[in-house]
Amino acid sequence: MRLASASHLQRLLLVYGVGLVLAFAVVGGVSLWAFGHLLERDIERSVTMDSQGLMEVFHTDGRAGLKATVIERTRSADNHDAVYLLVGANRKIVGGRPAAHLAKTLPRRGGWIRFHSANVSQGDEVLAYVQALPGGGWLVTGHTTGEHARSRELITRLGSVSLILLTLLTILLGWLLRRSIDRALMASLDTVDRVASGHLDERVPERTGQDGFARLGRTLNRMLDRIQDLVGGIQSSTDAIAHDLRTPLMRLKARLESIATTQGGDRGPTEIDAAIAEVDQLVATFNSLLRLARIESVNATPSGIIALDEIVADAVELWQALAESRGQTLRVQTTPVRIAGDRDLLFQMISNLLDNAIKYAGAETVISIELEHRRDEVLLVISDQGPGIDDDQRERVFDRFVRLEPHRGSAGTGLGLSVVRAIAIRHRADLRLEAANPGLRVRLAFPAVADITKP
Amino acid sequence: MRVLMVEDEPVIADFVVRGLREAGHNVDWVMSGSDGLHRALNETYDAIVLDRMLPGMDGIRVMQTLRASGNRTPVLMLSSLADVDQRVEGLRSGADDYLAKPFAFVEVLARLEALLRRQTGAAEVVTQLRVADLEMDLLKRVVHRGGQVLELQPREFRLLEYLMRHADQVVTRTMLLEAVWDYHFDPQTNVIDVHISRLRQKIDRDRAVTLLHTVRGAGYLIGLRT
Repeated sequence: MRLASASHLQRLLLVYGVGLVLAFAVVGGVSLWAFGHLLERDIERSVTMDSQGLMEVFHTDGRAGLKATVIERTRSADNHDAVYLLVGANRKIVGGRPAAHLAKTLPRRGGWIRFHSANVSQGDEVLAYVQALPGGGWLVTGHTTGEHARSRELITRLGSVSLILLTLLTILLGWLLRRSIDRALMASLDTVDRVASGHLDERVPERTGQDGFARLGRTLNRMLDRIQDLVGGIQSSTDAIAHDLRTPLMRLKARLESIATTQGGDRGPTEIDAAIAEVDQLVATFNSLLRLARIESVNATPSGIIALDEIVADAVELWQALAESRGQTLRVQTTPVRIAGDRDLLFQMISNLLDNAIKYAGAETVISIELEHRRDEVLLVISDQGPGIDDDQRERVFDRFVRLEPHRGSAGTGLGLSVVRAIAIRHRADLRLEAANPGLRVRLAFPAVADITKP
Repeated sequence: MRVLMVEDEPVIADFVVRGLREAGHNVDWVMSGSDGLHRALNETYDAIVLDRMLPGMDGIRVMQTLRASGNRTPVLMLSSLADVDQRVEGLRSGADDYLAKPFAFVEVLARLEALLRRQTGAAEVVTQLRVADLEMDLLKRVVHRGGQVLELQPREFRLLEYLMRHADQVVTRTMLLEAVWDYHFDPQTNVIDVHISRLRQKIDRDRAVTLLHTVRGAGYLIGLRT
């Protein structure tokens, strides 16, 4: 059996998992951005301090002292990340790392710049502060961002690997969670299914505690108790009614028959025969009602596997003579199919449908009976060329005692289609009335055997 | 034949008992299950008519006790519980036939006589059936009347066979449906009548003497009627 809410549960878990992964991605992204931002602030701070230091050299030792310091620092192997450049007022490089194109584009008033330089050791992007020197010229103090970029790359990789791991873990946890919820619900639902198929005394395993699952179990069991009581009530009252009404009817019939025999034999139909016929009609209606109540109160799907085509053939054989006597033709097209069913009930159902078709379709018409095996269902279609049933009446005809054309005065209890529907429900068959243009088409779809054997 | 009637309802019992006596049978009538069981075990009957719902000991219990003690007298069970499963329950308890109330007297008589015939005729294997000049050969599966072969459909053959096996007895429509079509169901139309009239066409058409008769309010009978 498949859990009815499986797709819903899957959706919930999917939303939860995707949300979790997205949240991690957002947090990771923000952290990465913040990390980069902090690193850059750090570089800015050290560049600023460097620049200030050099400016102090400028103020104390003048331009020549600054030039010497810049050249010295540029040569120093310790400072391979640092970039120093002294530019004259004529935009010519005075000292430091040569970057001729840079000298021409320096902002006049100084400020922060970024540039690319193939000459620096690590990476090629440089973040630099340009300081306009009093008396013309500029001092450029910079630092490569290569280290920063590498850290960033490292963290990005770490984050991606974590994201993949997290996604896998989320999928695994989701699957485990789904399985455990499914298991908790399945046990209860399997029990409910067994009850629905007639094992009325089965109960859901109850859990201790106050959570939803524990309550679900207790509530289901209370409901099942109630259903069992009600079904038991219907059955015992049906038996009681059967006994209490049949006995007086039997007495009535016995008295009438006694009178009929004492009045003596073969004088043709008398008033008493008519009275006996009335009693018989009453009994027929009453039997149909009781039968209906019984079929409806037992919910067990019949488990016997029967050949539906043989039952159809038997029913057709029984009714063919009547149809032919009215000039009607029964056109039969069957294929061997097996379904789980009760042969007496199915025979009753097909008989009622054929009886109706013969009764309501006119003379010289064709009644067709088709039985075929579709992929997962067995389809029985009985169509006639009679007056059909209007759209708005099609549901009503299944109700008890509804007869659409009482003026026809045809015999019947008005329970035939109610019985048909009850038997269809009992066999989990889908019953539909359709327009056959002209006439009525009754379409019954039974589950194919492979489906019905599943619990 | 000698029949024991176990029925607590006087009107119904009286009606059946009177009918059976008129048909020439000896009938003993008791009102309770325990009396019925006592009589059935201590005396010899050809058949027992047993109501299912009885005061004290119900019909199913009587039936089971009777069969458990080795008594094989044919039993016709009467009941106001008419559904298929109740019927199956009745037959499982050991009853030979089951009749739902309200019933017509002829139905009781027909079924009782059928039970009795089954009891006595079971030993010999019948290969030929004969009613007046109508002959049925069960081995060759052919039917003759007055030396002339009658063409019958397989179902018509079974219908005629059942009627001929119960020649001179009333056979009801329900009995025919159960025996010839082998389905327990409730036809809302007398669908059997058309089959009978077709059969009648084949065996009685243009004959001076008709053999297949309709018994008003009861069913059918095959035989010579005076």
